[in-house]
Amino acid sequence: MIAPLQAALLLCPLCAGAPPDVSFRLQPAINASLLPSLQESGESAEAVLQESLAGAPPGSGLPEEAYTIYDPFPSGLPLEWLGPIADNLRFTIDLSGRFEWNSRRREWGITQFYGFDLYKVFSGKEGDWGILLLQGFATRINNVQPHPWFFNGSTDWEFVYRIFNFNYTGLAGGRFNVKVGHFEMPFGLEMLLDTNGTLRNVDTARNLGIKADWGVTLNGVIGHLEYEVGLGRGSGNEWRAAGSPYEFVGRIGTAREEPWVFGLSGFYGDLYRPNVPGNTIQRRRIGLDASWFGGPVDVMSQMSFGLDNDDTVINSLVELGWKPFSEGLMVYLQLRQDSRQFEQDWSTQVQTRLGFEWAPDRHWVLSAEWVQNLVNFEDQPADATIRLQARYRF
Amino acid sequence: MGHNSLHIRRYLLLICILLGAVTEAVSAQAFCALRDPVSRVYELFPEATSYRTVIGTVGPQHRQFLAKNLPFPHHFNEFGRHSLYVALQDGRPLGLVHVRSEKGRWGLVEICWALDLDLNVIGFEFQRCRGPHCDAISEGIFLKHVSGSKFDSLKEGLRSETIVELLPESQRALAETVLRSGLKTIALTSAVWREELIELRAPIQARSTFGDEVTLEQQSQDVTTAGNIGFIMNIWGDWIIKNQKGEVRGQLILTSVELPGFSDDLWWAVDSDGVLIKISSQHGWPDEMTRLAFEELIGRDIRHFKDCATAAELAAEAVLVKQELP
Repeated sequence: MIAPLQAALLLCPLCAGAPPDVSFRLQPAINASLLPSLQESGESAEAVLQESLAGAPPGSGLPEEAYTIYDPFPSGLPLEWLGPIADNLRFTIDLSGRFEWNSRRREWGITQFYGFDLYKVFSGKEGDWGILLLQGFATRINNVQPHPWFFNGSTDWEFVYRIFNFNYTGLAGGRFNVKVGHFEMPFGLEMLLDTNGTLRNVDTARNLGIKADWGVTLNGVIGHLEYEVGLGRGSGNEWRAAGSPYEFVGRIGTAREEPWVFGLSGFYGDLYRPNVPGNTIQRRRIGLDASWFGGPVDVMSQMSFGLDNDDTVINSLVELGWKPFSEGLMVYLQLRQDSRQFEQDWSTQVQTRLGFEWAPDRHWVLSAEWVQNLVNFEDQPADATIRLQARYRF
Repeated sequence: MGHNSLHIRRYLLLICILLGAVTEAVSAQAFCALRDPVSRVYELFPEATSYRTVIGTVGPQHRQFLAKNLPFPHHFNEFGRHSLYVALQDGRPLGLVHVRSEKGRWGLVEICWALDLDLNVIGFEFQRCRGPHCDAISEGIFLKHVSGSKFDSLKEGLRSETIVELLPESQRALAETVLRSGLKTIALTSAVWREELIELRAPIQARSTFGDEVTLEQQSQDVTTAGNIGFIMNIWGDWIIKNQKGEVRGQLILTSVELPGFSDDLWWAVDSDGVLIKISSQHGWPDEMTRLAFEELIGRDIRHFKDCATAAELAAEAVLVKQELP
């Protein structure tokens, strides 16, 4: 390597204005890298190029495709035209259709979601100071029963806010943040999973009576612990003050990167409902969750107990998740138990959910779920529900 | 019987088609699933007080760069927006953190890399690793080998298997995955976040030459090519350096040069009289002769190509003439 360098730098006079030397023009691009470590002096350019393009690490034993990893958070639309606004910005359109058939009703219900997903990090010289996360969906339900209370009937349009907030992270470098807006309930397994717009869920809405709400949370990561505690309006998708609803909710848990994850959650609230006396219902919960991630298998579980108004409630959920071939296919089996003490008598629902999520490419996610009630409340029939969903993000 | 076996064959064919279709896909997730590696940033840089996110777009233009620089085949479907984290101590950059996903025997392996601003490896931590050998790889001799490595030493480890051979057979596949991930991380960071790296490096270069209490004013963000000098030299930026009173102390100029056997970024520091006072190579001089060839230019005022006898002098002439102080 020294010889050509000496020749070029010290011995060989170069003429300004003369055409570039042929050896320079044929210099392999691999040497043109700004990384000096990529120099391959002593080998011919062609050999280096061939090896780079076709060689394989000795003993790797893996085909070329084995190295391919897709961006799991693609921004489908080109954003560069936005200029500085595009810095640290991700934006995508999110469309999905959901079809649901219940064995007792023997009718199809259809839900359509037309929305967007925006993620923007704000930074300054001292570091990041905020994250804006906006997910809004024009949602159409057709013959969907039961449905969230803010829909005016089983066939209706509503604009649904999933997560719609700003998280101020400039106080302590991510250790102590303040989130304002529509936030997801930090309770149980919900903190570990993305269940917005997916068939797979962990029963947060049914258990707590609310899945996301307008309000404020304190959140962060300190060492191997993460936490989020919040105060919300208690009305969910829409801001309603009748009956003075509210909720306190929070979870503290171990780092989700570890093979074992444990969490402790609490919920205390009076939640808005339009058609009940006083316009509120009471929910109190203490929850524990434990998860294990090993190989292609996930085992996640949570248990909570508390009160629905005056009724004692105990419920639990165990999920076995399996990614048999790649990250693009997940099969899961859930077992849920929900017991309530109505006055003196206990009533229990036991339910299984068998489902899959399959991503044939970076845009589509196809999923299906079979919900089978093994035992139903107060001797109601053990019905079954089939759900199918196609989701497209671009 | 024959009818049933026909059905079974059809089902098997359908299953094979489905399996083939899923082998490379990763489900696109909603952005609420995005998580900063907060705890990893502070583990890898314990003195950090905050961090800054820089999202970069990996596009088709990076395909050729990777194809030529990585010593293993790469399928180049990692297009999209990726995050780089700059660990900061009271606003001053300490290094970089980048999380890369690789395919492993037990699903995705997410590796959190810590690099210094010269893109040497400081260390790594698994953000997600579900195999039985993750702990063994993330500590002990393998971690010692990788920590402090440059691109070429990682590459050498992959080629000769020197470090890999020292490991038990059962750990080698994961060790190779980590080495490949490190190479990709350095190459991609160099290519995708080049402008951000320049912005991070310029204040360090300025302070090392002009002292701690200086400010930088960037003059131009356009990349220009020095013409008719016989080799490729691009000028990536120049900054006016001022002291606390606002007085001009000099100028800092960044160029890239591509010479046989030597390609790197060169930082040129010029004092307020237009005299060259320092030249440094971003990744270090490859040998003593090269260092001397450039450093003997210090103190000289080269303003015409007739003054030039070497490539180093031609480069200096291009810098000093084309980047004169305002």
